[in-house]
Amino acid sequence: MSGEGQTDLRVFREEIRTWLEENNPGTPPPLDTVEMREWSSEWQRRQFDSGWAGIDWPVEYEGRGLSFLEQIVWFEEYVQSGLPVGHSCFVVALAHAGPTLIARGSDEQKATYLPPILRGETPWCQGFSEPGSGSDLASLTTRAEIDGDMLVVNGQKVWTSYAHLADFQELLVRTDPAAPKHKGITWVICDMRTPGIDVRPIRTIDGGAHFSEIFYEDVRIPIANVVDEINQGWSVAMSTLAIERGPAALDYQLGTLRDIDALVELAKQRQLLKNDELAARLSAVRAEGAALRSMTYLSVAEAKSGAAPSAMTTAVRTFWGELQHKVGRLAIDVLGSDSLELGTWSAYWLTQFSAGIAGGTKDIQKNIIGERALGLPR
Amino acid sequence: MNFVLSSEQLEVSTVAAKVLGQLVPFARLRELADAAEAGESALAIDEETWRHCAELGWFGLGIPASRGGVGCGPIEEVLLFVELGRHLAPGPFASTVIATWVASASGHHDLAAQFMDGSRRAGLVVDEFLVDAEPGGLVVQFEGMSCALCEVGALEQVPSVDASVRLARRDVRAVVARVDDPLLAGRAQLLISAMELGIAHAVLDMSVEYAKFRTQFDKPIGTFQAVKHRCADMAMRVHAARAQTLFAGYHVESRTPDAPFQAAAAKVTATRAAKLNTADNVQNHGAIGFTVEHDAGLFARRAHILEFALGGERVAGPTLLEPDRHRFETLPPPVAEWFDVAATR
Repeated sequence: MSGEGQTDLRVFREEIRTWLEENNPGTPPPLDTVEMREWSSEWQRRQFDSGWAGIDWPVEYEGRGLSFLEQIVWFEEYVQSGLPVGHSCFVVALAHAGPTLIARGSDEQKATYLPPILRGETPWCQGFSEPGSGSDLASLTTRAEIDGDMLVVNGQKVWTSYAHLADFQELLVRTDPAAPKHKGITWVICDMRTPGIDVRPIRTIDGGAHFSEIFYEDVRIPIANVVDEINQGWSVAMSTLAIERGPAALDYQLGTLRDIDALVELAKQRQLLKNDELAARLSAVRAEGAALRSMTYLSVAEAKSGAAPSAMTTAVRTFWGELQHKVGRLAIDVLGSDSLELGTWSAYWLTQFSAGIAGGTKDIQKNIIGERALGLPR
Repeated sequence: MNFVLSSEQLEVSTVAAKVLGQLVPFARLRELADAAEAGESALAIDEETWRHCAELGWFGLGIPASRGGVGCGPIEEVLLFVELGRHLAPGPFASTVIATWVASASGHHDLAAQFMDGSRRAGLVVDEFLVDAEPGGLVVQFEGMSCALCEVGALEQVPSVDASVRLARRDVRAVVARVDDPLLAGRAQLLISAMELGIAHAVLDMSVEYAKFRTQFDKPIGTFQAVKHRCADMAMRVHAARAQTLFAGYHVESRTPDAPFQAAAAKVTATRAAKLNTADNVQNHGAIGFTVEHDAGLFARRAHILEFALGGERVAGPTLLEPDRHRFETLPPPVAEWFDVAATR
């Protein structure tokens, strides 16, 4: 949109708003089931058909090839429309696997995997964490041995969202056990229908059933599925994590601002703003919501300017997690004993416990901030 | 996040840091405070230093060149005030800059010229107190969307938590000039937010340096997670306050409808950063941080004064809670330009 200015941006925003009003699916996505995959797939396809998928993805992979400015405007309007964000089996594909392949995949991998993601055909899941490798992710031990032009994988992954619905997985495996731990890891695309993969569900404290643990027994994956080079997986994963901690989460982060707005509205309905303590906490989370957006936009702009992602990207993620903790607790205090009944806000409260854990616990993230951004000794 | 700022904008920071380091190093700050406490000086800052700052154009930084100012905007003002905060510059910098806006916008051009050339200063009304007011001088008073320049009555000094800041009981007389502008209060909040940000950042740097150098149990204390995480929390607050103050600066500059909300968010975020970081900084230093010889206390005291300037959270709160939602639709043009990069990946 270079040189066209604000008028065109307003028109673009209006176009999105109208389209969302006319095409809103109207029903919430079913939870964690095969129907969820159908619902999400259909909704993604409808966005794709109208040119709203992959707004800033390259045209050659069926994206729109526009700037990230238009992508941001889409996220803003999407969140504002009230459509659910964050719970979809396409999240990893769209926000994570896609951008990683764009950054590090071969031309053939991009041509093969990117268009089906945008068309809503292929949900992805992530295979990073293991029972023995959480915060210390680089200690992972799921083994891949080279056998001709195949990798043979044995091991276990855990905390995998939507593994039961996914077609593909971003899988981290150890290909060189003798090398230092960061140097012997490979990032490979795993087809979830390959024989030897066993997906077992894990229920979470918020009632969710989208988590799984995954067992691999002699799973044969073509070496052609390796992204970048063998033993370069840590570097690929770090570019993925940088994406995860920054722009990929932008719509969810705006979703937290919408949650805060809903909570303020609830407090107004209950005439609780005259309670000084609640009013102060509500205005503080509103301010921190605004600050989260400002931090994220700056962080995205930094990434787009070509600057190396700074360790402060981690700070945005951690700040966001702590904000969700505050919102969850505040919701309980606004509702009082009405929160005993399982409902939207009590569910939110249960879910926010994950905000200090998912994508790396806030404890390890604060180590990263201390050591990499501030230069404190290990 | 310097990548979003122009080299001219960054120059404002560089010059201010250099000048303030020379004119008011902490040793000088302590001399001025001691003189004030001993009743030897009615002023928080000496005339020579003040004139020097005036010559640099600091009091007319945001006034259009056509009206005798430097012609910069809120972003440059923020960058200047971050440095004023970081150096704990004594004197009514924020209230004099606000007074210049009011005098200039209300057509009192002679008065504006006097503020800009450093021959006059203005203090600030903070609830029942006058901050850095002078005998026979003027003070800035906010009432909702309106900002007035008023004459000071009797000046009864009271002991201040921060000896570098002169405090007197409120006695306000005739209104000399008044401006009604919904953006003025927001722009003023940004000056205070910027100083709080400067303080929050200064004490972060101080804590990190100390945590690298101070050893206990044969290790730098920065290796201990309790200290490291406290420093990380301080860094997150600085990052949030900086991003929000800058973002709000663009909203004020572009005069978006969202500007008062964004500025109030900056004030709350920066106030929390300053008050929590200055407290953590004392803790990180242990007993030495509790001594008067150490600078940690100076930062805590100044942060306390600034928390209440312009009404603090009690004024910002209603502005933040009044709208039904965060508004996304008014992206200031300079912010939009950050992302206006074609898909080249």
